[in-house]
Amino acid sequence: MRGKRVLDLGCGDGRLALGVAALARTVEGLDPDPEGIAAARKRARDEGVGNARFEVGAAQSLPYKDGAFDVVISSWTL
Amino acid sequence: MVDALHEIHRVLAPGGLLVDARPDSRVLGHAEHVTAGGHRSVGTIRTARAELGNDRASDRAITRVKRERLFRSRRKGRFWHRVPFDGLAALQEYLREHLRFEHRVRWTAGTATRRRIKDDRFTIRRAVRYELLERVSGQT
Repeated sequence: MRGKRVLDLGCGDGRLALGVAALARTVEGLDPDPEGIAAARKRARDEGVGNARFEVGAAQSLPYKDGAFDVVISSWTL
Repeated sequence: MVDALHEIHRVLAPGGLLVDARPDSRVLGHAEHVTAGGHRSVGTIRTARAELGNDRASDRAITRVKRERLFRSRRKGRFWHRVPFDGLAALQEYLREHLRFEHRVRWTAGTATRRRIKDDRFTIRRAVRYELLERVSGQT
């Protein structure tokens, strides 16, 4: 994960994404649950993590450019 | 699920990795009593029927995108994941609310044993399968 651009699909409250953020260049978290995303954003603020962003969205239509990531994590998602 | 995998292929850079991890419903879960000597299984926990169907659909989707040469497997395997509980009541409450599992344990420990240990620590141990899939250049 070191220095990589990472997408955490189905990130929930961002626990995994924020753990990865310590190593990664950038982390994006995506989840269809707005409450989960709100919790992830709050957690990122509280922990002072500056390289992680969280969005509401679905895996079937990803709001990212082609080739935007080096690693996609699908944990309990597919 | 295939649509999602096509999208993942699109947003991954060439040679990028998809890390897929999910419960392995081919293997029974276990309710375990935590003792000084370790963890002792006191019952088994099956996956709910609907979730078995979802898991098979996920397997088929992964197989399809490998056949389409969008991804190739770099490594796969299984590890165990434990969820801790303070007492048997908490474990049973978790099962009642959790859609993934059948809502009850199939006990291998007898009623008297369970009554004696009910306030001890317990875990649910379940198998998790993982696969590292490398993006290859097939067309979506």
